[in-house]
Amino acid sequence: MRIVYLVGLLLLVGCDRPDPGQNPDSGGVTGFALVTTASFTSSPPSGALGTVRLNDRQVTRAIDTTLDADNGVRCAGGRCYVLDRTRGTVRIYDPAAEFRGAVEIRTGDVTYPAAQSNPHDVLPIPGTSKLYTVLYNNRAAQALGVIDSTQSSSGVTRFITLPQATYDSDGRPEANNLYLCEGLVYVTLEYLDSANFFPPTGPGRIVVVDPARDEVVGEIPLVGENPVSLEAVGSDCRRILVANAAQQFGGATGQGGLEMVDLGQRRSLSVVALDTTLGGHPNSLTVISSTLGYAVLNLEDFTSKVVAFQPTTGALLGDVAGPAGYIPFVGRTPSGSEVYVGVNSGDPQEGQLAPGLYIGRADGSRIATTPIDLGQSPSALSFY
Amino acid sequence: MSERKVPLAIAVVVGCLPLAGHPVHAQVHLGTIPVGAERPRSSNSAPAGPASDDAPFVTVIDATDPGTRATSVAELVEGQAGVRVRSRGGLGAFTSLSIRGADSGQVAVYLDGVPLNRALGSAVDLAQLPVEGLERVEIYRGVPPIELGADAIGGAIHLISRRGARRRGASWRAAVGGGSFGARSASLGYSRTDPGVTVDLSAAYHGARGDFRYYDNQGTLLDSSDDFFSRRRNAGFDQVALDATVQGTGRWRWNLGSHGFFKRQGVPGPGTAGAESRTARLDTGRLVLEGGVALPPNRQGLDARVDAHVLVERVGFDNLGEERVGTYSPSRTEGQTVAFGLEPRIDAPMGSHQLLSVYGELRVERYQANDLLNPPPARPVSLRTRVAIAVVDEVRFFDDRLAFAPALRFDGIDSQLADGVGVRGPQATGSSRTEVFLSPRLGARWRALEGRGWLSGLWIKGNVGRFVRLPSLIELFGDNAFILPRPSLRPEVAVGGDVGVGLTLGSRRTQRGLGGMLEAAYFGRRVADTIVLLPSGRALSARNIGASTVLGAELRAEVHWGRAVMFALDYTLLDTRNRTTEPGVTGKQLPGRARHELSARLHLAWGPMAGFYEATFLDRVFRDPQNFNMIPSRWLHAAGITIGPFPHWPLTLGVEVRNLFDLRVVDLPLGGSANAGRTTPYPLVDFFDYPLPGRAIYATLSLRR
Repeated sequence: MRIVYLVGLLLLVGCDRPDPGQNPDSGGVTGFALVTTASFTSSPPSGALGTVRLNDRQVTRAIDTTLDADNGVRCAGGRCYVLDRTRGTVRIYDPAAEFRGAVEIRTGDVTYPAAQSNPHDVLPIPGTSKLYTVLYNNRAAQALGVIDSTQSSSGVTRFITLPQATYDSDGRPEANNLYLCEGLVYVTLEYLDSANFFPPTGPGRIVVVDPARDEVVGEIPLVGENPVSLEAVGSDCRRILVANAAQQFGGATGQGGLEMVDLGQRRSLSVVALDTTLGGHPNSLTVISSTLGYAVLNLEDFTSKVVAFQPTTGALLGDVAGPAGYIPFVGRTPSGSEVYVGVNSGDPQEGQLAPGLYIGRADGSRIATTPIDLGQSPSALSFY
Repeated sequence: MSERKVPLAIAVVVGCLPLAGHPVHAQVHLGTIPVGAERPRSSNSAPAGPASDDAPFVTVIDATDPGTRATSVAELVEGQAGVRVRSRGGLGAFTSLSIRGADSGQVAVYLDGVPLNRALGSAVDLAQLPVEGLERVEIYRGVPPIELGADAIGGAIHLISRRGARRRGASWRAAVGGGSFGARSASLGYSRTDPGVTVDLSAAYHGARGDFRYYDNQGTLLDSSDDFFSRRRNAGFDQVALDATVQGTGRWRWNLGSHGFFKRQGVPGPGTAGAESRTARLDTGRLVLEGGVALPPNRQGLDARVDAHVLVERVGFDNLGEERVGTYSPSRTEGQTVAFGLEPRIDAPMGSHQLLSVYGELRVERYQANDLLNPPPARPVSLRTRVAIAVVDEVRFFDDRLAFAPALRFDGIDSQLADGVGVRGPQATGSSRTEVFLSPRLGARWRALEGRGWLSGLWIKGNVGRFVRLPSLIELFGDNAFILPRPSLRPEVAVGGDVGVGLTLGSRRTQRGLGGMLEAAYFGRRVADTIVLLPSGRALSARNIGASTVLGAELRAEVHWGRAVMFALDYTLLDTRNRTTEPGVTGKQLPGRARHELSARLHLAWGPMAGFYEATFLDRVFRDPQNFNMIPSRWLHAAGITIGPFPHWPLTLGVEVRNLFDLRVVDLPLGGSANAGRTTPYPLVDFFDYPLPGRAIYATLSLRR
């Protein structure tokens, strides 16, 4: 019986947290939020690394100010990975070394230049030196890159072909998120029309990749369009909520929303809330419990806000933060007691939140704190 | 006494306190197109340029020097005090101008009084302004003449066309040249001055491959092991310019001008391996027709004239031939601008020490964009109409030594985006807005000394003015793609001024014996409601983010011994401060502005031979408003020689070397506590990651008859 419990525990531990911005296994160093920031008025646009200590919110700014403004971050396995989407690189930082001596690796090779790849997410494969990175701009045959983190000069050592939808004629699946659960990697595909300002061409898809073989082993068709983020609901990593943003230029049309997916059964369970019900295009989301989740909604007037919702029913519980010009993320602390909201742009003179990092209790109440100044506008979040 | 009360009365009536203007003798600069026949002239037929003791701080550059290797105005103005030229590459690449720390979009650029800043987007590409048809370039570094727009927050550049031969009769000029990175040029010009009429014709071609080698870090700033020297691709250009001016100098004074320009250039993008576009190209075609007529001289001394212009411009972009892996959206677009302007003007002497000038302006600019791959059912049309009236009252005291020129300009502007915006993206169909604003100015000048011995001139002058830069049409109405409309955007409003002193030593004009000049100026400017593009959802939108201030000083000095030796020095000190609401920027230095900038030039001449050496220092420049990252300071050097012209053999050969010591890599400090003390090799850049060329050699053979 104890063996059964032990196996069960190992399975639970093996389930990665869903959102790339969320805290997976933190490798022993805990208690910080790593926030990347961005300045779009720089020449060229640039970003920086900053941290917030969770217990007292002590801020350390400008740890590395040479980031791209279009960045992404994930901390896992005792390392933090930061993406440069413009030039196509992933940087590997060691938080224990105060982020010194970072390694930088290109997300391309000689044939498929890193500078055109636009990496959107990175995932270390546990127990290996492999990194998976989804390459948003690449064609299907080069949309998932494999990097050996011990060979920094090699760039992408091999590509994994991801399936292309028949309705998406540009040849690019727009792979966006990576998610690890029970030893398998799940990749969201958006299928946008890159030749026409990126409207969705049809429903999105989740592809299942076996990292042991570097092969696609399954697909999960989605109902909604343009899956931009995903998050586990509860402790079972197999049950996830997907945010489908659909066509973000314009109002909600019912093509997007929040969709529940069972990765174990490899099927979509239901659309728990249409974007028309939510009143906007869901983007970043985080789930606190089976009764409380948060999502960033991009609105028709090109502002953003954060709403609380009921993850299993999709029922809106109320506005939590906003409006603002752009809110790139909402994320919860590893303990689930607090929620972090990054406001990238906003004009207080127009009744919007000022840029900064907002922290509030994860109880569905409105976040009414003054923002934390990280030196630049927040861009992405992870915890370690 | 009564004469002196009039300007005060006018000032009260129009409600102006700080007004700007010009001394009477500088009225030649108040006009725009007029370049006019009725105005005082220099030795040739073009109107006289501003003098150093005019109220505005102005630098005048002779564009007719055959020894000058310049394909565009960008190279002509580089190194001047207060002026910073920033390029996205080598010859022909997009080049913008900043004066006294202003944004490039805040600098007004005029060709014979015709505004070249477009309502669509206000920064002018100086590389698209050829020099062959020009007589001179006037750089108004502070408060420019009120005719040069209400939105010249960062000063103005006025390009003055050639207007006939320097002497009566005809003259020819021709030049061919070539140099590094496939640079080539050829030009031909004809000037004629006869009683009652002058003619000037210019034709010029410039081109280059632009395939210089640059340092490529492959995007890995933290890893220099994979860096290498790469060759720039798709950075070439070909351009043709045709200019013609005719003017009547008889009783009826009139002028006509035609300025045609076409350029085809590659658009390579940033200099990172794989990021370059290999086939994207930009075509720009522009035709400016301008003319004016003035009333014959009359007994009252009243000077009345009217000028008009039509500008047609087409810009086309095409990247269909691209073979890229990613970041590629096939595109074939064109934008067409048609602008019309009408400027009446009256100068009325009010006695012998006062001149009242009234200037009017009507400008209509229409822009239409088209997506040639996915033509929308109806193409969007945006329209901007400007009506302006300005009054300048110039009064002189103490034998004209002291002059004040209060001025007030009223602008009414209507911006519209008509129906027909395309089928995708955010729309602002039917948007319009109208606004009015006042631009008061005041200029003052005191000539303390005039022609007294070796110290031949001493002056003190100052200016103050208010400026308003309207949001561009893209900032207001978006681009129907990634830039969202924001019709509520406020204009940028600036108050700026300067004060300075200058002196001339010996005979600077004739350049005999020891002589020189010294000019020192202190200036300041505060810009409120600065407009920038910021993310909004998955797009960008323009926002008013707060204020910025600039304080600074300029020093211009020149010493010569006859024509044999000349040494010139231009120095600019800038203290720029960010006052915006963006996190972490308040009090920080504005990005892209160097605190110290210095240019020194030594010119030696002996018989038909001449040579120069030039060194330019640019202090460190922050790349971001937070001042996290910087480009280190740099010295650039240039040298050149010319031989000729010889008696009876009017050929001149010029050879010039730019970036003499082949600076292509700088040690870039890596910002952030985790990178303390680390530097990395980085390509020489001005803008973003657009590399600049290393050493380049050019030779020009020119003929004048």
